[in-house]
Amino acid sequence: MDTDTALPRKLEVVQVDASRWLIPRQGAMRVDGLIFADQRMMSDLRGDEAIRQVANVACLPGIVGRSIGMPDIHWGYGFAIGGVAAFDPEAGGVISPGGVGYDINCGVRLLRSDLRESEVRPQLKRLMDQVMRDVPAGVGSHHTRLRLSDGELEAVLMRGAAWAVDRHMGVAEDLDHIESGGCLPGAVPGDVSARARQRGRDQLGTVGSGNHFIEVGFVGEVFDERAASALGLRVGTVTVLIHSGSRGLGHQVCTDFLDLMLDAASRYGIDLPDRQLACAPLTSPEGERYLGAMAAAANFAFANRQVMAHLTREAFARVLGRSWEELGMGLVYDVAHNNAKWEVHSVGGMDRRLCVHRKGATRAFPPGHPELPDVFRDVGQPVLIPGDMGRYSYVLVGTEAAYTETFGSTCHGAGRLMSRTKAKKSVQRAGRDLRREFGERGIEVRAASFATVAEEIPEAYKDVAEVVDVVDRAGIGRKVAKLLPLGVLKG
Amino acid sequence: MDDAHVQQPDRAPGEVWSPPEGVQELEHTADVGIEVRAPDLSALFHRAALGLLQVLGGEVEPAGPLDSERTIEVSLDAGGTDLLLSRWLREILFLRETEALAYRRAEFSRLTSDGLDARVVVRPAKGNPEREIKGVTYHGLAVEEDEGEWRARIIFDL
Repeated sequence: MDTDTALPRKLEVVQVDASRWLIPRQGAMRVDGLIFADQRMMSDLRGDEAIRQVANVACLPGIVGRSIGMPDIHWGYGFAIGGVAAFDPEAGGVISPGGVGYDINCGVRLLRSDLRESEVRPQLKRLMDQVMRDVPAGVGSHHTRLRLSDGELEAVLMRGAAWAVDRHMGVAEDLDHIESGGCLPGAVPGDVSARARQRGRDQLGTVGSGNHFIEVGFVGEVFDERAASALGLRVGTVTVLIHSGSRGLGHQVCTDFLDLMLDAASRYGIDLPDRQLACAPLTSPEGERYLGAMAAAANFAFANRQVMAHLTREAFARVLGRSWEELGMGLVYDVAHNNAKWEVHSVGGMDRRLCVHRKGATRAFPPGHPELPDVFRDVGQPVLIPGDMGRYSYVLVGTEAAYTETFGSTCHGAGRLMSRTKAKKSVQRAGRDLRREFGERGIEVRAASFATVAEEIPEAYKDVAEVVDVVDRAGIGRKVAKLLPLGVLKG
Repeated sequence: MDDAHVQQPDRAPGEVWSPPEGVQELEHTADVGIEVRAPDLSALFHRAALGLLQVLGGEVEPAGPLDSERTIEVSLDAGGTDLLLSRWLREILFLRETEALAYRRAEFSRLTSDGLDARVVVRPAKGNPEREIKGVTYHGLAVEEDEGEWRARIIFDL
C-alpha cells in the first residue's frame, strides 16, 4: 500500500487544547492519532514526517485507543520517535520490530547519593577520568574482561539484571528499582541469531555511541518534596544518569526480524504504509518468535545498565575513598523507552491485555499500580527524562491521567531538532572548541570521539524543559526534580 | 547481469580519502541517509557500500597494507533490488562493525533483482568508526533506474 493512497496527501490535524492535537481518523487509519505538543512544537513538526508517521501507525491492524505522539516526537523510521501504540491480540493486533526500534529496551537509570555537589567538584576531573577508564564508551566499545561464554550469554538473555546481581555487580535491592524487575518474561535465547550474539558478546557493560552517555550531576531543584523524598533525592546531592541499551545484540535482533516480518506481513495480508512497519499478528508464530527474541535482547539491555552502574559505583568508590554503600549510591530507578510489553489497560470500559509499543516513550505507571514496589506505591513510577548534554534533565512520576489516556506512557527525552550532519557542520563552521565551552560552564566532558559531541550539541535538541512542561500541563507526568550536569561521558 | 563486473576502488593507495563519487548524505532529523547515483547496478552497490563507510566516518580510509586484503564470498537473496541493496549494506556493516573488516571492492558474478553472488575484497580496518549505525532501515528505501542512471536512497538508524 502506498502512503499517498492510504492517507490523504494533506492530513487533517485539529487542536484540542494547549497541549493536545488530534489527527481524526481518515483514509486507512483505524483509530485517531493524538499528539501532545504546544503551539511552537507543532509548528516545528509541520515540515517533518512525524505527524504522518503517527497516522501510518494508526493504519495497523488491531490498534486500539489512539496512535499517540509525545511532545519529544520527531521523524523516525516506521514509527515516529516518541510514539506509543497498543494492539489487541484478540482483534488481530500486531507486533512490529520497527515499533520497538533497533536499540531494544534502550533506557535510562538514575543513581542517587548522599554526596554534596561541593564535595565532588574538586575531584571531578579525576572522577570523570576514572569513569572513562572503567566504562568503555564509543563505537565498537567492548570489554576485554567481560567477554561472555555461550552459557553466560544465555543466562544474561534469560535473567537480565539479576544475572549481574548474582555476580556481585549490584545488590538484590536494585532489582526492585528497575522496570519489570530488570527482566522481561518469555525470553527465548534460541531465537537470538548467532550474528546477534557475536555483535553483543563483548559489549555488555558498555555505553556505545550516539546519544548514549553517563552523566554525573546533582539535584538542582525539587518541585515535589514528598515524591523527591520517596525517591531519595535532595537538592544539592550528586546523581548519576546512565543512558544505553542492548548494543549490537539488540540492533541485530531487530534487523533479523524485520526481514521475517516483511514476509509475514505479506503472507497475512497486512497492508504496510511503510515497510519499516513490517509486522505480524501477535498470535502468529512469527509474532511469538519476535516477542521471545525481543525479551532476550531487553534482558541484555537491563544487564548492560546494571553492569555499567556497578562499574560507575566502583569508580566513585575508588576516587572518593569510600564504598559506594557509604556514599549512599542507591538505585533510584531504571526505565526503558524502546520496547513492546504485555499490559492490562481499560479500553471502552473493559480490561484488555494489550501489547503496548513504546518507541522513544517511557512507561509512567500511576500511584497504586500493582507493578510498582512499595517504596513508590504512593507517589507513582519514577520517570527519567534526560535533556541534551549541557542543560538539564528531569525526574517525573507517572500519573493516573497517563494510565487512562496514553496507556501509562509519557515522553522520553528532549527530541532532536537538528540533524546530526547539520549540528556537526555548524560546529565546524563556527570553529567552536566544545571541550573549552563545556569547561567554562563547569562541565567536564569525556568522549571517545568529539565528533559525537559535535553531533550532540544542546542546540541540536529541543529544550527538554518545554517538553516536560507539556506533559506536566497535560497531566501525563508530574515534575519531581531537575538535575544539572557536572560531568558527561559520551561515546 | 551476465558478465562478472569488478568494482575497483575509487582511488589509488596513498591518496587522501574524499567522499565517494556519486554519494550524497541526506538530511534526516534523527538519523542519516545517503543518496547514491551510478551508471549501472554493480557500481550502485559498490558506491552505496563506500557511502556506508563514509557515514560511519572516522578511519574511513581503512587500509591496512594491500597484502592484508582478503576476499569473502557473499551470497544474498531478496525479493527486489531495493531489499537486496539493504541486505548488501547490512553485510558490509556487519563486516565493518563486528569483524573490523573494511570494504574495498566487489566482483559480482550475479546481480539481479532476486539476489547476488559477490567476491568482496576487504582489508582490516584501522581504529573504530566515529559513528555507530544500528541498522539499515527500510524507511524510504528506494532503488530506481531512469534513462540509464541508477539511483538509490537509504536511511540508516544511528
